[in-house]
Amino acid sequence: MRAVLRGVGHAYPGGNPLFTALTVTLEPDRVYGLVGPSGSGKSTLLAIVAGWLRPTYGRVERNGIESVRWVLQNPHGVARRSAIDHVALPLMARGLPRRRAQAAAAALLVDFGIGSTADRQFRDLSGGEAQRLMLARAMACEPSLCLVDEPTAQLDQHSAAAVSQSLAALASKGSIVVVATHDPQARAACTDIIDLTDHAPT
Amino acid sequence: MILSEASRDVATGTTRSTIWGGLAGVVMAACSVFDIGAIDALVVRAAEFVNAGASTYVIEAPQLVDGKACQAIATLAGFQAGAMREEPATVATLLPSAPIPTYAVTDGLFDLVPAIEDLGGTGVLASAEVADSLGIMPGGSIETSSGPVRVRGVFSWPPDGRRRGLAFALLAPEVSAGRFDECWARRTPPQADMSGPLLATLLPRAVEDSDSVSLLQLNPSLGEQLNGARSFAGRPSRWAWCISLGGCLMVGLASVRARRLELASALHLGVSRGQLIGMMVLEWAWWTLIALIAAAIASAWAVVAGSGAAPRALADAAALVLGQGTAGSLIGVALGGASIRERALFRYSKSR
Repeated sequence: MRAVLRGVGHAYPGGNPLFTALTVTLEPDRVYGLVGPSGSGKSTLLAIVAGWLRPTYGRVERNGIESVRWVLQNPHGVARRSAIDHVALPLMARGLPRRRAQAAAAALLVDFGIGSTADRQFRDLSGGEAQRLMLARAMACEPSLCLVDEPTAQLDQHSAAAVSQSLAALASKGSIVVVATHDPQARAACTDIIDLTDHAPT
Repeated sequence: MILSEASRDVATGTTRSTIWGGLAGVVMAACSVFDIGAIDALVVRAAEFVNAGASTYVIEAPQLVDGKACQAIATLAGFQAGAMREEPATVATLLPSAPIPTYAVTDGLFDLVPAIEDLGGTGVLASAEVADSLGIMPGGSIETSSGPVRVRGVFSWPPDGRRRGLAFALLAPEVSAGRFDECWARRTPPQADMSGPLLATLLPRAVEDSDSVSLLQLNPSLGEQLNGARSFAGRPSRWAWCISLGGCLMVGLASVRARRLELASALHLGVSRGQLIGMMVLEWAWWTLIALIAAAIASAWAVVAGSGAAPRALADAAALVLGQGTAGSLIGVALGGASIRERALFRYSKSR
């Protein structure tokens, strides 16, 4: 399973290219940090990797990628449902009975450093806890491809640090993970870096 | 999983049963109470029309009405009828200066002259004015020169535009055979043209002597026609069921749209649309039950507080409004569930 980008570049109609000549191979069990200043096309590239947007230049080959899960900048959950229920839902949707789904969800919460929040309602979680819950929930889906868009942008420094630490937990779950970020800490947690400034049109 | 998730949504307050159930309940209750009030007013008006004698028609032909034929009208479905004949006035010993006009009537006439109180048995029905003047009650008797006459009951004959003549009078029941002066008949629902059945009560001689025959409405002051069906169809609340349907549809739709972010998210996490709609419908069933209970209580109160003349019609109207509200909210939930787009997660997330 992998995704290969060959000479990929993109320009919106009537605009200058955001980036050009990007060639990279994305593989499972790695966390790719997609970095670059605001407006460099990080979200655009995520959409291209997801297959939602056709690149203006180059092509994308996807082998064995069956499912894509996104983790968005704003953590969104169900205010009055418990943290563990959030993670158990995708497991039950795949047919696990609640008891087993709850057990697997509890283990995932521990992996992401929020094991103690299991029974707390979503509305009572801090921003950092909520964002880590989103990561744990995305992983519960066992997606082929997990795309994480600016996970620390809305957080204070302390929470951002905790989320950055958790990004490492995304590796070794069998998914290809791409994290768009401009946060140095988050960047440091990634196993590979794709820097769009290197691909900015000259 | 569907049941388990739905029940957790309800238990944790995620469903917001109180808000959606309350809103749908208010919509249904308002529509239902409004319609019940409007229909009850029509029922009351119809009852007044009938009680005032506006739907009663009289054929007058002195000594030319066949009592048996008149009484036979009452055997037709929806008809009530009775014959009447003037008799020598009754002179009460207490009131010798005011002879009381007295009429022999067939039994059916008592259906058309509602008694305030009627003990039955033998005897006469006295008008309220006679009863007052002589100070008698049902069960008492009037002393006359030819002996006591038992009063079995009292009827009222208010001056509301109905034909005069019975305000101070006695009605004495008689077997229907023989000749009478008048035949009275009415139909439920009211029918203005009663000439057919009434003319059929005339004895052959009357047809030759047509000058002495007249046909009249007992009380023309309320107009000739009631037109209950048209008033019902044109009542201001006739669209109450539509408003209930539309209003509850909006509530159902809102109940889902308010959660579009978490629902789009659930789709993104691999929950199927069927599972999603299944959960929404179970949660709908819960809050709609709350709405129905509230609306049913309000409707029952409106029926009980009404005239009581036609509780069945009012209950039917309420059932229609509640039924349409229930259907509307379910349609709204289904439309809402079908409208959630996984891709829109990104837009919803930003619009939050």
